[in-house]
Formats: sequence, C-alpha cells, structure tokens
Amino acid sequence: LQEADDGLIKKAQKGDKQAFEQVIRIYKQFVANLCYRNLGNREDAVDMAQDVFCEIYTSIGSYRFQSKFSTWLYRLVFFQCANRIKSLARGRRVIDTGTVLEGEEGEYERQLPDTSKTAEENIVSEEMRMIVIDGLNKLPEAEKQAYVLRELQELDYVEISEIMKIPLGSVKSKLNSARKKLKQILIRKLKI
Amino acid sequence: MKCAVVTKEIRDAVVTGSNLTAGAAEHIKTCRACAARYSKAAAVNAAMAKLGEDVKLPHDFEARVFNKLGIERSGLRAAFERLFLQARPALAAAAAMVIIAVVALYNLQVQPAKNTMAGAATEDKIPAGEAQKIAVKRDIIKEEAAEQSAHGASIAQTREVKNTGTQVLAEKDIDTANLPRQIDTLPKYAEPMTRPAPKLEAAVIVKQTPGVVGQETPVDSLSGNIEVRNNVINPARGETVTVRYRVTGSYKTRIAVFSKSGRSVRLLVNENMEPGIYSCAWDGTTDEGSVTGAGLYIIAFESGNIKEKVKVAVVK
Repeated sequence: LQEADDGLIKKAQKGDKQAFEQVIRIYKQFVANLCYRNLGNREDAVDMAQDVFCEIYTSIGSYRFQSKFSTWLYRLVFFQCANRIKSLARGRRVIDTGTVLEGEEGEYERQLPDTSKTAEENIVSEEMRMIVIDGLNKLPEAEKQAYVLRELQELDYVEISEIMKIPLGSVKSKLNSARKKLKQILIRKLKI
Repeated sequence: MKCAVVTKEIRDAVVTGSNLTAGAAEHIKTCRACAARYSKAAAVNAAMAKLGEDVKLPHDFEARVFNKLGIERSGLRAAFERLFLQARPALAAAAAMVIIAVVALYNLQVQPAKNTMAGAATEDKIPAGEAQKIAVKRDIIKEEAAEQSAHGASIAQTREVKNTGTQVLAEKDIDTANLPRQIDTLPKYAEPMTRPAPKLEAAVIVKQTPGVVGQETPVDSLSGNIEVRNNVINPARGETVTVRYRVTGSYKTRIAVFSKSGRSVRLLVNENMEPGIYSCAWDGTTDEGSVTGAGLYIIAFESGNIKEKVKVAVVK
C-alpha cells in the first residue's frame, strides 16, 4: 500500500482541500476494499467508503502520527463498518444483483424468479457471499478483524498487531479461533 | 473410502481451501451426497476468494465525497473536471461543427477533382485528329483576334503556325473576316473545353462491375459513399440487392457480404478501381453458388480510407 507522506496529511489536517483530495486518491481503493470485506456488497462498500472519507475529513485532526496513517484508517473503517452492520441487521439487506432478501438470523428467502442459468448461478454466488459475510459478522469483533486483515487483506501478523493494538501471540490465537468458529458456522449453515 | 471420512476431509477444506486426497476425490465421483457437500465447500471458498478482489470504484469518487461533505473542490484538476462537465454540451456542439466543416472541406476537395475527371471523360469522346484540328484552329483564331485588335485591320500574310502536335495548319484555311462566326460554329463537342466543367452527376460514367450479377442502372447521383437499393430480398423470386458505391480515388476496392456472425458469404468486388460511381448487385447466393439462408447480412464496403457497412435482409 502506498502511504501518504506526513506533509500531505498535515496539509489535509489544516483544511487544504487539494491535499485531502490527494489523500482520497491514495487510499480510496484500500478503504473501499476493506468496506467490501466487511459488508460483502460492492455498492454498499463504495457508499460506505465515501462515508468513511467524510468521517476522515472531520476527524483527521485526531491523527497524531504515532502509527502509520493506514493503521489509523483501518481502525476507523472497522468502527464505521461495525456501525453500518448493526444498522443493516435491524433493517433489510440488499445484495448486488438488486434482489431484496429479507429475514433474520441469516434466514434468507429467495425472491427472484428463475430466469436463466447464469443469473441463477450469480444469485447462488451472491447468496454464498452473503452467507460468508454473515458468518464473519457472527464472530466476535476482534476475531473478525484479525481474520479480515490476515485472510482477505493479506497483512502480516506484525501489522495486524499494530492495527489492533494487541500482542502478536493474541493475533495468532484470535485468528485461529476465528478460523475454527467460521468453519463451524458455515458447516452448520450449509449443512456440509 | 467411507462417506464419513470424506465428509471430514470436505469440512476441513471449508475456509482453509485444502485439497482432498485422491481417494476422497474418487469417492466424490460416485457419491451424490458427498459431491453436494463438496460443491458447497467449494462455493464457500470461491466466495471467500471473491471477497479478496478489488472493488471497482466510480471515476468521480472524489467528487462524490466532496458532494457528501457539501464543500467545493479546489485545484486545477477539480476546475478542469467542473469545466468539462459544464461545458460538455458546448464541447459536443463544437465537435459536431468541426466534423461538419471537415466533411464539407473534404467534399469541396473531392468535387473539383471529379469535375476535372468529367472534362477529361468528355474529351476522350472526341476523335484524336479532330481534337488536334480544333486546338490548332483555336490557337490561330485567338492570334488573329489579338492582331486585329492591335492593328485595327485584317492580316493578309500567310504564315505557318506550329502546334505541339505534328500537324501544321496554314492560316489561309481560316476565313479571318468571319472570325466571330467561326468561333460560334466550332463543333459542339468542343464546348465543354471552353465552358465550366459540368456537374459530377451528369458527367460520371456508370460502370458495371464485371462478373457480378446485376442490371445496368443509370446512376445520376449518390448521396454518400454507398447506397443500397432493395435491402430486403427474396432470392427465390429472383430479387437482388443493388449496391451503388463511390470510388474517390484510384484505390483497391472491396465489397463483400458477411453473415451476422461475421462469416464471409460472397465477395462482390475486389479490384483496383478508378474514381467514379459504380454499381453491383447481389442475388443472395454464396461464393459457391448456393442460395443463402434467410437472415440478416452485412455488406462491407472498403475503398481507400473509406469503410462502410450496410445491413440487408434475405427472406424466404
């Protein structure tokens, strides 16, 4: 990941719009990917990423240069996504294809008619992704973060430890626990 | 291998994505229940992999963030983007005008060239000997007229006038007293040499591409580079598609019929051609001579830099 230099961040902190735009340009893909890995829906992820940058604009002053900017950003994204997931859990879920799936506790009901094999395959794939995301969201927050950072963002243990502000050993144990739990959730859910 | 053992292996593969042993893989081929379990596990792993992919972002992501914030972007890039967005209709109009101007200029350049060609075509019709005579007479008449105006009297001297050709004509052959009348009574086919070149439509010779099915049709005008008449034909009734096309220079010209899927059906024209308007016809047959099936076909025309496609339909 390309990191913005401190001078640029300082300019953005002082309210320089051009510097802030530059920050957006550097981190937009990174933030959007992280949102997608938390929410499992591309449209929601892009929307969420925009909200995250709005949040960054107002709270960038709280960044103290004690860690990498991306580390600070990770925490912000996870926090924002957790809030979004909570609000989504209370309401309706919309998946990429525009299909509206309603339900509780991961009990989804297909509402699309069978049109073609390809469309059906897409829906199955979308459903599967939502099931995976749902399984991830059932994990304790710290374990979920460790799993997303390691397995989906492909960060090393040291970076994860910095981001989560926990010792290296804890990162490993959380990751191990997350894998086992997620596997159990998915096996039970899909009756494998 | 027992289902229980295979199921354990499949469960282990969930999330971790580990491979099955050869025995388990063999078992899956024969056991439906295990195969279903395995496909679910594979789908989970595929979904996991998909979550690792990059999200495609809209090109105006930054602008959207600023919109959400309710603040205006600054900087050259933002200004340029804003200007481009605001001026897009004006830019489109300007681009359209430039295209129209270029097309008009191109037509202006092509037209005189064809007019010259038309003049040459008319001259070709005059017998070689007659043309020479006319040219020499014209020179003499001009010289006499000039001398008359200079001296105020008719010239009685006999002299020889040399022409670029081999023939030499004595001045005594010309009745200088009736010069104006002589000019008027020059053969009519000499007229196009002295008056402005006729319009392209009237002068261009209709040419029939040899070896192609079709009938002679007088070509009076052509609005574009290619024009198709009878674009819906029934070959069983002997109907043909008539293609009229313009060749703007000495170019290799190719006209071919393609099926909708891009398969070459019939090559109508493929030769070096001189400028002019030509016509050819397609009777709905293939290169092999068999009649094509009903459907949509594309006639592709290529001459110099000009490439055009026209759709035609064959019905039965």
